[in-house]
Amino acid sequence: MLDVLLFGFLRGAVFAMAAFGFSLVLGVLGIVNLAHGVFIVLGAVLTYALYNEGLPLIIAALIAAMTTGLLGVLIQRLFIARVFDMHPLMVLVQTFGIAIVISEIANIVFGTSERLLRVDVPGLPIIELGNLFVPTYELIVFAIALASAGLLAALLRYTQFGKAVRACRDDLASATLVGINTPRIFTLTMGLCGLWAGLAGALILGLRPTAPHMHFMWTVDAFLIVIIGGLGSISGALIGGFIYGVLNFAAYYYWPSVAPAVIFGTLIAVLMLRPQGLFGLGQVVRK
Amino acid sequence: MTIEAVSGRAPRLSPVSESRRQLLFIAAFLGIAAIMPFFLDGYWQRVLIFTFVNIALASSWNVIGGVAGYPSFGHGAFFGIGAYTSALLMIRGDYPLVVAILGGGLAAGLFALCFIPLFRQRGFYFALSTLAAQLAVENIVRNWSFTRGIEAWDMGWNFPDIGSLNFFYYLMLGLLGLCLVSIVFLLGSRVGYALKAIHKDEVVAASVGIPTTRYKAIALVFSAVWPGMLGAAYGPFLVFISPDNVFNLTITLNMILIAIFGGIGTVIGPVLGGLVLSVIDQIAWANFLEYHHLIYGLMIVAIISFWPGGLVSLIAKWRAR
Amino acid sequence: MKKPTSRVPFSGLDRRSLLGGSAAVGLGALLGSGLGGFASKPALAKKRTVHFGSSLPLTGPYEKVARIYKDAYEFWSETVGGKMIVGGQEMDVTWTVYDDENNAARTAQLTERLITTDKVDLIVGAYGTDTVLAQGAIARKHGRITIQAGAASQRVDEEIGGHTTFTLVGQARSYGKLAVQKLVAAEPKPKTLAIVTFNDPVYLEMSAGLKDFAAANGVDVVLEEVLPMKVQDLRPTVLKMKRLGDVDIVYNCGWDVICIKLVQEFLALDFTPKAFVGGHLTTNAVVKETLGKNLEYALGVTFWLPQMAHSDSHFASAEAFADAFEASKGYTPTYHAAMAYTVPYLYQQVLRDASGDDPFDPDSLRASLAGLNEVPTIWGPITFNEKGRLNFPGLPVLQWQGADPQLTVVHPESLATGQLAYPMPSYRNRA
Repeated sequence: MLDVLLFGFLRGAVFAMAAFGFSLVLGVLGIVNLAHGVFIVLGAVLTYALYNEGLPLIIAALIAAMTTGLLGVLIQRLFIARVFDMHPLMVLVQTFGIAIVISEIANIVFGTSERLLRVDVPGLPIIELGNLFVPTYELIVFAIALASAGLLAALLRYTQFGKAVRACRDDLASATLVGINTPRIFTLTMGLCGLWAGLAGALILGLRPTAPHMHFMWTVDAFLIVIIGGLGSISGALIGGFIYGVLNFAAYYYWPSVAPAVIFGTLIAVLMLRPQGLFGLGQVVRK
Repeated sequence: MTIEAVSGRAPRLSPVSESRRQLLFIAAFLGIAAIMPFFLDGYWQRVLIFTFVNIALASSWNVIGGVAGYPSFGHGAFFGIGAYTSALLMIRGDYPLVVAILGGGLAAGLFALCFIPLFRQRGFYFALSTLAAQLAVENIVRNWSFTRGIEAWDMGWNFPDIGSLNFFYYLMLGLLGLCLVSIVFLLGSRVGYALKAIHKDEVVAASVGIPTTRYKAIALVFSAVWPGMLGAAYGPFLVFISPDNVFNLTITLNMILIAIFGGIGTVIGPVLGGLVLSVIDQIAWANFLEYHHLIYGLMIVAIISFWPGGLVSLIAKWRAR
Repeated sequence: MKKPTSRVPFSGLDRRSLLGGSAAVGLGALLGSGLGGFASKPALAKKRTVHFGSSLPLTGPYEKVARIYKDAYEFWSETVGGKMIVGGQEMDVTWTVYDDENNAARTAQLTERLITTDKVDLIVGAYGTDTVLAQGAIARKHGRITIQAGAASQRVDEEIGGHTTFTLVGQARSYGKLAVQKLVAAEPKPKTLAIVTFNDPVYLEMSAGLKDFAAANGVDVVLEEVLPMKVQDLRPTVLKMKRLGDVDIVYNCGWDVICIKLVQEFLALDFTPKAFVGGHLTTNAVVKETLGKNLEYALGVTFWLPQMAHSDSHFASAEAFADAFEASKGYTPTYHAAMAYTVPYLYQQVLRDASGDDPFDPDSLRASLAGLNEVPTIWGPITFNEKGRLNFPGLPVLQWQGADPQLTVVHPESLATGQLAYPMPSYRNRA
């Protein structure tokens, strides 16, 4: 039991990291971005390609994350901005189309195979925790994910940009009224979302096999995490990530063949019983 | 958010003449389709059968997703449930096709009742709850020994050969015709007006005394029964069904795309959308093998970004000139 | 040369498809295929071309493997110089290979197209259980036959085997037979087996076979973990094994990525069984590339290796086949290549001495294929059982040995190039 909790918890932080952007976009723009998973898989695939070209892993990951961040900016400016005040359906279908396009391009350029990277920390590949063994790399990923949550929270709390983002999230009409340049905030939010998700993808590369066609699974996972934890705060997403990590690990441990049904059933139950999420600030979606 | 804003059309409570125009259009379409087998070989008949199924599915989805404004992303589940009910009835139970089709519709309709609590959600949340429901159902069908196949290791069902290609052509065309006509009557009835009111503003609709939950439930069940029946007929047509081919997410997405491409919330839209999309699909597939998924995706993005009203609004704009 | 009435109702259908081309609004341009049918009509009188037709998942997640199949078909055509002998007469070879996207509905459409529009002479099977079954249903409707090398499931035998479809893949049930046989003879004798399998027919049949062999050899199956096909994380599975404690053999029914993930999780959790069988795709290059020295001691089973003593009328050895294939296609052929190459090769063998008005008549083709007896091919000697399934003795067992692990065949004795190293030392105590 304890090990199921521990491993689920360790995975949870990076799941949360993959979902921060999703939460922000849902909170600030009020949309569900079905291309979110693309940022994650593209982050992983790009990191892998650059690493194979001989770049150090960290540099490769940063370049990949910046690329996905830029991609987020472009998607917002060129496409989502056109339809985001229409019926939610339009945004869903449009972003899904964008996901198809980008993942197909990734398939053509980088190939369809699943990529895996084994990262061993030199000298100390495994750390013993009691009678458990944990790969050092996973602890590092955990630490990076937590640090990134702290950074993002600080960014939202203390910077001018963060204040504007929070204003848009809490009351879009008033934010516009007091002169906040909302289109700019939206674009930056999408950029931030792409950056964070791409970085998460780069870290995930060392934990799970990743291929472009898996983008939708990651989108659904991100949604699950945000729903469980509740919208509107980084800590909510973090808690959602931990709960989802444990739920996912436990489902595959105890009921492997029906694990997806258990996970999706839980999602529906949470949506029915506590639509604001288990720890959310309340439902901020306007549509 | 209203239909008009989505489709770019002037608001109009459909007068009797509109219903009549729609029925005429449907009759003309069915008439032309009925003589096509005399000119087409097996391949093109199969392509058309597939197109008919897609149009009927999109039209059914349109009732809840387009007219009532509840974008279900789990409608493929009803199609799959229909196909699996048909397999259970025809293979486990040895019943004839008619029973299987009615049974498929019934099973999907009953299952839709379980979706009703999801109406507590709206917009994005409704879409993703229904998506999760479809994924959960698919996973259960895959694992339950009663549904997964005859032998413990099987995954899917093999139907006996029960009819020629021509038989299935006219069967699917017939189902499509009935489906479209029933939609025209539904939308022309009190239910149709209520659904449009709900789409426009649910709070206002409820406040003027429209029992919104009841009407939404009617719309959902209606738009689930047809996919159920179609799935039940589709199983023996395809001969082999498995979760991978009848619970596939692309079935759900195709329903939505065809409806949007043709013109969401309209009767004629899904018919036009289904026809044009299948032509584009065939061209892309025949000429740009490596890139046809990419083309498909680009088309989706382009349509939504630049012509969110679909073909129907383009035609309306052109006629208004 | 052939009875027009028996197979191609060309007087009716061709004209129809042409009319369809002009009548269907917007479809006209697409009916090039209808015109193709027309163009081949005069040739019917004196046929000089053998038309092969197939569909493969050329786009999507199976794209890579589909390319290998397509390359193997091409390689066969190159090998025969684009010509083959049919009933004593030389004919040109042409291929039509469509992309079915691994979608059963699309495969059904395309098979209909191959038969009614393109009027292919010979159908080469699809790849994947769903698509092979969908294709077989259409072929059966038209009374045609197929040879397929893309689906191992028993469902194929039961629905279309023998009368419609001949299968070049051995029964999934016997994949693990030789591996269990070899391991139970080792000292100390393994007593327990954990199976990692997937919720899909082939994998479940594999593990059903493993359970039978285990029971027959006095080995307890202590864990049969049935995972969804899309599983991402194998730590829960390996954690379960570690908790069970005394797991002697771990057998992976899954594919190469699963083999990699299992070994990585063994390392991460410091769990070492006495023997690990990585499955039938352990030999894929990606496994060694990713795992490196950690692959040492892992076992695998394989359908085919260039060092096997197989030959056909073009190549004196499997090695020669492998070299020629690599020279043409630029990569070492996998077992898929050898198997796919053998499909047209078998047609070539049964058609060479075909007699009668129509050498492509499905009934005579069926009879010739069913009558094959130990025909030597690069894929091994071919005999089909009454369900059209290849008889095969089970898969040879390999082991990765050495610090820079190399493949060693350890079973059966006739192929063995080395001794089984058993039990494997703990991952932790390796250098």
